[in-house]
Amino acid sequence: MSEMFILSIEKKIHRAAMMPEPSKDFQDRLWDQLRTHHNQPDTRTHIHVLRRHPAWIVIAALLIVFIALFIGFGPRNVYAFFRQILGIGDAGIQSIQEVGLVTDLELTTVPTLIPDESASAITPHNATVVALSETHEGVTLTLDWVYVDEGRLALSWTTGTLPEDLTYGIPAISMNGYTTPQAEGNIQTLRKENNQLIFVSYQVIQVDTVGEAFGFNVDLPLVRKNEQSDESLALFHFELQDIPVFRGRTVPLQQTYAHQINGIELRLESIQMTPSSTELVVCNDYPTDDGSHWTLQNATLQMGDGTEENNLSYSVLDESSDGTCVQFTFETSSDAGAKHMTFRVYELVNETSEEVMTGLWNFYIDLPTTEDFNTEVSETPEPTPTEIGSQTVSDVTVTLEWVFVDALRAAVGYTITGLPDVPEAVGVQGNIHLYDMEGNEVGGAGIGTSNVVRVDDQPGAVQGTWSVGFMTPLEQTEASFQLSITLGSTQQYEYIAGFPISPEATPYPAGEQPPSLPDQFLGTYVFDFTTPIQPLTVLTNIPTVTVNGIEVIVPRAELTASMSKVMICYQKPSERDWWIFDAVVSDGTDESHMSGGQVLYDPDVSVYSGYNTENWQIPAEFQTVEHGRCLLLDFLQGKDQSSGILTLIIPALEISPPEVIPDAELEAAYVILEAQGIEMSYEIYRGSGGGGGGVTYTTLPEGMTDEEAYQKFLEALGYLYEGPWEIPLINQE
Amino acid sequence: MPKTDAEIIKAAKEDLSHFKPLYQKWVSPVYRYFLHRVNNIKEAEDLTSQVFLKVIERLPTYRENGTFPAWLFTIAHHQRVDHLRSNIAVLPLEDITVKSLSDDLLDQAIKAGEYTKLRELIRLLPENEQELIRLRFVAMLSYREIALVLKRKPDAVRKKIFRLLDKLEDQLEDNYV
Repeated sequence: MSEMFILSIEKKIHRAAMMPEPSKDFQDRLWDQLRTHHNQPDTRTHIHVLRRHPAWIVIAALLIVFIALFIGFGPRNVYAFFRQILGIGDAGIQSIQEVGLVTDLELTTVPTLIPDESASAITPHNATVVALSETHEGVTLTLDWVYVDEGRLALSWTTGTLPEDLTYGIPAISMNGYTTPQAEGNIQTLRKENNQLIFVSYQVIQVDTVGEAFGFNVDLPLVRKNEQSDESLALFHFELQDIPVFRGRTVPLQQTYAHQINGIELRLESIQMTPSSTELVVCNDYPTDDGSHWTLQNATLQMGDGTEENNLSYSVLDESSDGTCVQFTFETSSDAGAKHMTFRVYELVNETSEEVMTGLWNFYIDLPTTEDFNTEVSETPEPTPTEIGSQTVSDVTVTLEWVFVDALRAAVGYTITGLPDVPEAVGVQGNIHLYDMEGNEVGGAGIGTSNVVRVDDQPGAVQGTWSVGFMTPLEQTEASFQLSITLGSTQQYEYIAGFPISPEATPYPAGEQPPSLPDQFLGTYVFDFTTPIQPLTVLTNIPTVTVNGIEVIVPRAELTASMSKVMICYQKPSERDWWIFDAVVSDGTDESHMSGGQVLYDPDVSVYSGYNTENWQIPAEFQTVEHGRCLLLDFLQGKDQSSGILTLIIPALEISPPEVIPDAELEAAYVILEAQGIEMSYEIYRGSGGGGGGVTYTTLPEGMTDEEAYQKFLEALGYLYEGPWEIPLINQE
Repeated sequence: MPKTDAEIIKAAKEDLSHFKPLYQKWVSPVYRYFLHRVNNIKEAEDLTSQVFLKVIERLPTYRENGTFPAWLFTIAHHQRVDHLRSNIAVLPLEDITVKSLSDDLLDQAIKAGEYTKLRELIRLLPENEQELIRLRFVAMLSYREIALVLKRKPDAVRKKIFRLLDKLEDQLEDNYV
């Protein structure tokens, strides 16, 4: 059909469908009515459809009585009861029954109207603490705990503040090849009052099949709601291992999945409650085979014992020749406070013939809360020092005072007593290593600290802390390690750490080895321990900041309680080695300078990184940027939660001055510096081991320090590109 | 500078008098939409009143994440569904007098009685197809707005309407060949 023709038929239909305008009088009357109505208190109810059809009330009441009697007395007794009260003893009725002309009301799935006492008396086992966090689109989500038994799988998150237009979708659970039989619906509630998201899925997970503990992955979509369709913005991904599976159904939660009346079964597949609405997805097969489509209509939702509310809207999610899935939306809020609700569907309507099949498909739904689960022991363990144990060798005792492990770093605190009292000792000899329970040494990220101090008033006593960074973030929630501390050394100059040196200390004579502790090899102290692993928070979509014409982007940052790793990318001012010699992360109170860094990407130079860069992918759009460079910066300061602020501050990009600055560059710089009141000379020296240069200032402006003058020197050479770039990694005050 | 629908609604949440421009703009399309369905002026007025009363009640919860016409006609669409259940007798189309037809060239080009036949063909369509005609040609909603009302994809709505036009044209030609 041509476009011209379409225009033509459109015009015809416009005319054929043309309707007269409403009268001016009606329009004015209605406007007055609206103004009057608006000024009245809101007395509306949500049951006008039922009010207009009192017969429905009677039918609904009868059905509820009927269902209740079924539950109480069983089908046979109820049938006898109805025969008596309805007088089904007459011959006509009996004859049509005998020839099979009546259709028995089938109730193959009887809804549980109220939980029975035995269900309430169930005591759940302890939920499993997970405490895994991820951040997407500025929203941090922490999976707090997990609970799995043979009939329920429950997940509870704490969510950061969600922007108005964002919400979470229903999570996808993948069980490493295991397909759960009898999936029987799910419910998810997002409550604003405590920023809690709880998901409960009803299905069978057989302990005999999966074992008493198993692993599964959870993908929770972050979606932007709009009326046309939901836009998936990101997936929160959680990998769970060794989650206990409890035998039986151990949580007093119930939800009707399927209800069949006269062969027509409705299945309540999913419920999603948010502070602003409740959405229910219901599926059904068409009752006829003639190809006509049937739609569920006249549905209500009743919170607790409140009034029935009509649905605000519905949409067809999935439609085939056999059946359909429909999503009903109600205004009911998850913060309404009820413990249960009832969803009812009254009609099935043939879209073509408008034939209506009536029924009362009735679904009882418990609304899950934390109180339904035993989470008393589920609070995230704080990294509080715990005395692990002591060992003594040759009267020297090492006490492991505390351990702390998060996804990026492990740290220990220890005390050594019984060492010789040698005031002039400069440090503790030996080494410290950490192993996993398979004997593999843990670490390798090039990150580590080690400090020792003497204990006041306790000669021969030393306190120390030691930490090591992991090559790959740990994903477990708990792990076992072995720590070995060797005191004394068979190798020269092998130190655990040196004591702080007083500024007034007299340097030890050159060529003479200073004493250290212990003064002989003692042995290795070995400690086995199991500890929770504090979670990793991944930040993405961090705002870019442009200063002085250079845009710095932060594609990803990883935070734990003890450290931060930040990937930054920028376009270098030229092909040269523009590096960041100093950067700071600050939470507004404390700040830490970068402890290390490496080049992840720079096509101008040959980059070799032995680091595991799987998680640090270079953004595709950045790979076409001329002179692009990506660095990974380490900071020994983190954040144990993603609220508050954490800012990355990069003062400047710098080029390392070469060993010998070319004369031409020096001459050009001198001219610039003279104009600023700086006079200096640059001295070059060479030796057998190489060469170098040094600066001597002859004139400086009043108040300018040598350090400031050196910055001006680098700037004049074109070796300094000033910022600062202040990038908010977390900004949730 | 004219205000957007969102700005008007924001102001109307504080003071209903700000809502009047939207009311004046949309009361007629809503009324005509119902009139086309029920062919009864009193019923159309009643249904239009109920829709706008609901609009006023729900105005505080209105969120600007679609368009106002789509939101308005979603309410009207549900009102129509409720009305279908109420089994009100539908008067024949001839009872409605359309006074505003003009004689233009297109009129002259079309055979006498074509409009009447087209109205009959529309009336014989299944209700869901009639609803598409009403939303598109009576309420004058865009494909996107219709998609929002019916919770379908805009492209699916557009294709369905095109197929519908094709069918109506074929039927019309069959009558006049």
